[in-house]
Amino acid sequence: MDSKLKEILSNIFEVDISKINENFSRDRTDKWDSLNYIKLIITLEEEFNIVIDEEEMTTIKSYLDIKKVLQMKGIVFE
Amino acid sequence: MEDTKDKIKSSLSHGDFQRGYQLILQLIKTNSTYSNYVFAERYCTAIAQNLNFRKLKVAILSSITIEPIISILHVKCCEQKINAEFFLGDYNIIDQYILDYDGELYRFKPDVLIIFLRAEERCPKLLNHYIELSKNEIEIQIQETIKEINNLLMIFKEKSNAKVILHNFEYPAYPVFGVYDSQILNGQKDNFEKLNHQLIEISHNFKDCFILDYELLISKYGKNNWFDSKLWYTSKGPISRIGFEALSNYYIRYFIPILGLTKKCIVVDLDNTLWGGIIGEDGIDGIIIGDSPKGSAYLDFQVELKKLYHKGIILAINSKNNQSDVMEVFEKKQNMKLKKENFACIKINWDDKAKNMFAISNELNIGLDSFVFFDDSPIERELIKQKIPDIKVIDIPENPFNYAQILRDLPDFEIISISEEDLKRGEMYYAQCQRKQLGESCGSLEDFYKSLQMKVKIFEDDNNVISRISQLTQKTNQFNLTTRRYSENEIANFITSSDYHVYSLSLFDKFGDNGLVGVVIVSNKNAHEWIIDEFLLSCRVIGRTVETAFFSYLIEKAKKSGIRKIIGEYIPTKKNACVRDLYKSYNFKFVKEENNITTWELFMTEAFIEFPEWISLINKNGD
Repeated sequence: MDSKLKEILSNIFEVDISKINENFSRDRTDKWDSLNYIKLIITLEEEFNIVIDEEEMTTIKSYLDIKKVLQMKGIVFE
Repeated sequence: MEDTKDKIKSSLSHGDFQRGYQLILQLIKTNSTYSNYVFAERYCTAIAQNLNFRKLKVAILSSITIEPIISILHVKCCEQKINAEFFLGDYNIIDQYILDYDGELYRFKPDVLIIFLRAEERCPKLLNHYIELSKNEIEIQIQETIKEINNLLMIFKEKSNAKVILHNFEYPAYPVFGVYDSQILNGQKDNFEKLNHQLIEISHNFKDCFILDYELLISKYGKNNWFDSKLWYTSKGPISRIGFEALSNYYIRYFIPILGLTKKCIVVDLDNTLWGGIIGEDGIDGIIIGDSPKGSAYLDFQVELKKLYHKGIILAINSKNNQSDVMEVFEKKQNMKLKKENFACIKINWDDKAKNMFAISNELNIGLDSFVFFDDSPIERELIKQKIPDIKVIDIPENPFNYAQILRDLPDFEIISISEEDLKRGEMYYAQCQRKQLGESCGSLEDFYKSLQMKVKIFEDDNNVISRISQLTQKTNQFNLTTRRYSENEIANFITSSDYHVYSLSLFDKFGDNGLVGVVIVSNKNAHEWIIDEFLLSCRVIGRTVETAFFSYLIEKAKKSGIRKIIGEYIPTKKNACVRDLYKSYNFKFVKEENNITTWELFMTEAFIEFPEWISLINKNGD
């Protein structure tokens, strides 16, 4: 699941997959704008077959935030 | 999947855009996730430019956030070989862009302007304060809304030649009076209908201004499925994921006719495409159309094709079959919606289908890129894809239940305006094709004869064929010079008599034995002279030069028997006009005409008729 998430982030924000780690966040990413953020939410929902509600959306600002939301929805990261 | 993505990146970085393009199409087809669209979109512009796709600059002014949809729309444009470039206005700014003569919109120089209107922003009172409005106020609201839009269009059209695609208004899913709204005339929904109706009217004030029926589009998917409240409240993009795809597809339906990319002809297979089963194996009673669940699906497919025909799309057949089997289906099979006449071009043979596609393109005189190919066989589809990439090949599932829907979903036959000629195109092409076939068949007649691999066997005074000869004299009307009817006894007497000779001919070809099909009876009561008493040929084999072979043989026979002159008669009937000039064509001299009966004579010194080279004679006695 970790590699799937990294692949998604790499695709949406056009960042090499090797650069996606625990420090990956909105503040450090040029292409993390409102449009790509919406694309990210749509992609996460589709790829993991989940619904992210408004409150959860507002918490998502980094790789670790996303991981936390996904784990709360029962998605297991090894 | 990652494999495909890596291959795409690698192909494109090596400049192999065609392969990159094919891989992208494959990626989207096998897994049309949003993430894949986002990935694919990055490469659309480079591919479209390198592969010379048709350019289309699209400006979208919208009262919602539409950006997330563009990833999908861009890829779908690329799929249709459109090189799209987009200008997106900021959320809910429409008028300002149009009014700003030096602004970004006009600097972009769009080919197409899409105006995405919503009642929420354009006429909110009609939507949310409807209950507070008097009848008169409602009318004023509608008029003002229409007037505003009309003004915007006027201003835009003064400045730009771009075509306009104008969304109509979505009807309220929950009218303020609820179910009561449906009980009254002039209810809330009625008034939205009125609004949309007037949009159509003002669109006619301008050249190239087209209405996009957004209300119809949404209703196809269901309003509650279409609307995404979370995306609306968080990003002002109220359209759900299914809407992304559906709206993109709908825009494509406009772009195709706007760019003149509408396909002109759909070429279909027959077995398991137009009907269920295989006519050559299952026979006319074995194939299915209508009645059963599968049969009904084939029938619906035919109904859809017929609609296309009436819309001016040309229908054609490309099928591996026996022509006669298929014609029998068209003539006799119950439930067939399509008639032979609905097809402008019919290729039923055992040639490879790519060859037939070239022939169809030639006969109809339309380019290969104007064709859609619909065939249930994945092998045939692959063949066409590989050999003629210009042709649009439709991938279809094995069972027929979605055939009709696949056809309805194709954007390729959209037309955006319609002329009388468009509606008659199918008919016109059918007539043209008939003429052309006639002309062509003359040119290649010899090849056709050769292809038949005909063999004839000629019998002289043979007792074994008496009954068939008698039967032919009784039945044959067209190719029959004298139409004398003889009983079996009379034939038997001719055979035994030394005053008469009875010749008969049987024909074989590559399709099998045609049986005994020709009869000539001559009398040689006068020495050195033959009088042709009977000369007939079964109508099944007319037009295959069999009579020439027969006559050529007889002349040689006559010469060998010391005959100096052959006399022929033509007795006209209502049905035998086709042989009126037969003797003349064999160099007979006209002798006389009495009671409409013409008499002809041929001296053996002048008689020579070449035996057709494409027919072989297989007489046992070695004549």
